[in-house]
Amino acid sequence: MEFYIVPQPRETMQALAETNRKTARYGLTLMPEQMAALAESRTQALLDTGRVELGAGILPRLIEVFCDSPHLHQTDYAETLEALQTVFYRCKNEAGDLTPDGYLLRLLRRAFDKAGGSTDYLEGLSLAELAQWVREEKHGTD
Amino acid sequence: MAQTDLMVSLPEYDRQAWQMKLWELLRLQTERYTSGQSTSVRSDTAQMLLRSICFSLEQLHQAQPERDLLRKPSDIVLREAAEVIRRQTARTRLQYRRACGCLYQEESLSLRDTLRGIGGFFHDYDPRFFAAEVPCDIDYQLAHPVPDSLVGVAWLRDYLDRLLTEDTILRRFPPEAVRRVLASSSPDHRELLVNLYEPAADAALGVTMTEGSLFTLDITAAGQEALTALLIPLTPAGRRLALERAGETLARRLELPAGAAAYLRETALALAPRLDAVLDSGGDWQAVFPAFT
Repeated sequence: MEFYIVPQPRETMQALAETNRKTARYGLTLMPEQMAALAESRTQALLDTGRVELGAGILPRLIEVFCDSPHLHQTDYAETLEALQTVFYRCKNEAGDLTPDGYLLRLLRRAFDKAGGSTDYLEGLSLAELAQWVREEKHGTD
Repeated sequence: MAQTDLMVSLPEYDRQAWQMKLWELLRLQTERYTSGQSTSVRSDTAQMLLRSICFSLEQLHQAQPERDLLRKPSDIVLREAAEVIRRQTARTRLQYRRACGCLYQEESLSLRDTLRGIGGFFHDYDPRFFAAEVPCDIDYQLAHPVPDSLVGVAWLRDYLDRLLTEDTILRRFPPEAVRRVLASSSPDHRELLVNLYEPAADAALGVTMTEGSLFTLDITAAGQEALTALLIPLTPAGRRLALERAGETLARRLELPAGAAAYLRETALALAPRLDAVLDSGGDWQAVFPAFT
């Protein structure tokens, strides 16, 4: 049986619009065209990683976990979210479907902060390398 | 979007409603599969979850009209579907226990391994999330395979049904005759993926066409000549009719139940290309209807 699940951008955009209420106090907001672009990039990221996502997707929760990071700036907020989303789906493939999203998001947040907000650095690491790197910081061996 | 058999006959409005329903069922099932801890799954996992939902709905539909299923809350549909699959699995387990008593297991390593492997199915089968999968190795080849349209426990049930049918027919013949035919058809049949029923059934059909002895399953050299004389003047359609009649006659002589009789008729008709090949090439019958005297 062949089937294609196309993510529903409207649901994603509605969820992203709601995140603006929370992130505004950190000086972070998404414009409608940025929300549309993020919804589009979500579709592509899911296709690229061979994943299926029903509902609004990981972005709202990702924003919730990252919004108070000192390394998130309005100037590149949307681009950073797009990159983090891609890294997340890749890590999710490595971790397996039954690994909670919350665990991965917290790990990525710690890695993001340690990397000074560099998503390029995160994109170059496997999940195992990310986890090891974060553990080194946690145990003060860095 | 996914198709399921029960959607095919629905008018367009209901078909769209079913698309939405399947979407909702997949969403709920994915959430349950990940315990609500993941917004996404791998595509192949989603495929298996959806196949499971479609298969389960088709089983549930046998007792409930489509419109009732459409109106019912999704969590109830999933719960009832899983329960139907569990009951079918329990019935199939009983069938499996009967299949473990099949004769001639000592004549086939693949049959023994397959029966052993099917035991693992009942441990590994997940009627809730992956009802369309068959989590075990099935190496032993049937004479007439299970249709590709069947999946999950329905596939296994049909496989065991066919295996038991072959065993029913084989039990009608003297064991020494069956073993002699098997040894003649393939000296290495114990180690190879050879179906045990087909050579014996073919031999019995040849004997039936020449009015020989089912007790020995030996068409004899004279019988082979008589068979050539019988079939050569016939058109391909005439040969098929002769095979069909042989199948019916044999089923009557063996006093087979209806299902086994139908299976034997299918075996008879499947012989047609091999008959044509022997007659067209002027070859001998030994590989199809072995003579021992």
